[in-house]
Amino acid sequence: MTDQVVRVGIVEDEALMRGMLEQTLASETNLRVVHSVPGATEARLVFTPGSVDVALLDVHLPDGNGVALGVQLQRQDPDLAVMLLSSEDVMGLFSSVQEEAPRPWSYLSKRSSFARDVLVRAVAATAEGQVVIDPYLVQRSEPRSGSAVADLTPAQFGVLRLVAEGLSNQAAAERLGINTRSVESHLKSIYQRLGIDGDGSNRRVAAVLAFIEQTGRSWRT
Amino acid sequence: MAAVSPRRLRARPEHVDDQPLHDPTRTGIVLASTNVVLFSLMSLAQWAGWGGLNRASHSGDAVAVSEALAVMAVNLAYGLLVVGGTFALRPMRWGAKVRYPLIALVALVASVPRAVAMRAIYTTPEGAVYIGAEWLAGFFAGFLAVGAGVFVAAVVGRARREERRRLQVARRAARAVEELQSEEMRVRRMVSDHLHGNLQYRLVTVTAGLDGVAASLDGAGADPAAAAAQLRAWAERLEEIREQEVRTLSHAVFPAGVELGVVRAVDLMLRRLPPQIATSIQTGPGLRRFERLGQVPLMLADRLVAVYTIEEAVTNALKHGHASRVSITADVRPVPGEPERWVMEASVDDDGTGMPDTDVELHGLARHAERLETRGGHLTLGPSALGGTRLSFALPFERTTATLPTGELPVVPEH
Repeated sequence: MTDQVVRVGIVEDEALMRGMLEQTLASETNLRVVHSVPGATEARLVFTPGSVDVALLDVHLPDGNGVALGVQLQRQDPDLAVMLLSSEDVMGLFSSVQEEAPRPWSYLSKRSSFARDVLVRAVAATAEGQVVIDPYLVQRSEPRSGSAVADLTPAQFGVLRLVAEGLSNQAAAERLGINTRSVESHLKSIYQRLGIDGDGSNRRVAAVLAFIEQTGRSWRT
Repeated sequence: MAAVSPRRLRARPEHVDDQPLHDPTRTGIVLASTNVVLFSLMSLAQWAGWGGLNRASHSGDAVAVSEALAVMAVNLAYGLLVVGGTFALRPMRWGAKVRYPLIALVALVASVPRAVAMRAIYTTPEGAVYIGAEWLAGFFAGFLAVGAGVFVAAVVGRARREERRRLQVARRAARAVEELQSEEMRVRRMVSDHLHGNLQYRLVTVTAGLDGVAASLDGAGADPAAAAAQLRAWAERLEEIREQEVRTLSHAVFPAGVELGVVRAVDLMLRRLPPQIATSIQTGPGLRRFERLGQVPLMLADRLVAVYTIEEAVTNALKHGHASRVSITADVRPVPGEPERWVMEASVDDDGTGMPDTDVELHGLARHAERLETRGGHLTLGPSALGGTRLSFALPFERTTATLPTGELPVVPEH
């Protein structure tokens, strides 16, 4: 799918935000915005099965909420990838959706969507079937005490964080200043410790889902 | 502190005016006694009817009167014996299957001496047929007279219980409305305090901080790199204020996920706890059944009570008990004998420093205890197997059959 153009549909009620998303994505050669609508009602009309690869959905819509809309659209079109946009931390909600949705979702905060590279990378990775979580929230996430993720070594957790951000093994290796092989071996240990089996891309998604499930964020008071 | 036994937190004294106006058993005894008096009078008429009076008057008026009194006395004594015997065995304690055979047994036992006594009265016939008929008639009359009394007592008892239940429901509803109003005022005051206190204060510090950055750029020898770093730090600060304060307010008004059920809301709340806290939530078979059916058995108002009580317990465990682990269980079960009435039972265990003893904490819990009691429930505090405190509560509710609309899975509160 990497060589193909990714068709993106946007559902966002704030006009400024919608405009920003359209402009940022349209300037990429491998992305094309096919729909851009302000509400759930319009989205249900234009998001016909097979017409969109990735749906960018705002959580708060004037006529419903983006999560319910996403579940509905995905039930009609199981190939549709969904990425949630929200201005506040909806990780808890996002996590519980993963059990209901036909295929795992990605989640970006609106704050991060203003960063072009983050947005573009997240959309592309989501289109490829990866689960991408907002890098800002990922960096603030710590393992939940008593969980399997808490048993990972700091180095393994560092790798898992970057995988959760949607980075490829190569990109993660570059970011960490280690070689790709080390990243791969870390990943292997991560899968083992988290009890994940199956093939390549499914395991990656399962690891990110475990990350979402078993981490929390603390805020300074 | 671990030796402290569980205790109930009471918000107000128990109400004593739930007793019935008078005992239905008394109604039963009065009616049964009236019946047996009537029976003895009728037996007198019967004695006169089959010639006893005629026979006795041959022996003089005095004999006629004494014979008549003897007939009445025997029957009255028999009747009162059945009444006394039956009610001494507390027939209302038993079900109908035991109650009526019990009366029959008492009547059967008492009707034997009656038949003997009737035969001893010399103006009555002496044949075996008469004795047998007299005995049988006496038995049935005793059974029916007292049976009717017991039956009425049962009916009255049922009506009283129903009346009392309705009264309780009405009183509970009135208190719930009252409590809802005071709760609304409390939340309003809290939101207002929070806006004016915390949020405003924190925003003022950001404004001042930004002014400081601007001033540093105005002056000679401005350092744009340092200013940029400061601006980033302030942006970070704003982000935290938004995340914390806005969420606190939104949660106080309406906890996230509560539309989807108590467990979902509590789950979302647990996920928000700092990652250093180990959490677990276990739902019992009753709740799981409803979950499978896609039903939310509690009404929204009841769900809010449950969620806020659990939240208070968790907050206490972390804030005052310094717990590092909280474990929650929740289940629902039907209340026996009351259709559509269920009770939610939940507990919050922690490994903190034990029973709360600060006034602030107990005051907060007392408010929740009161809300639960208004609904006929209760709240108990005790030591936990985890080493800290165990808070458990029962919340009775009228079951709803509301189902989650498909596709309406997750709902996020609006800010």
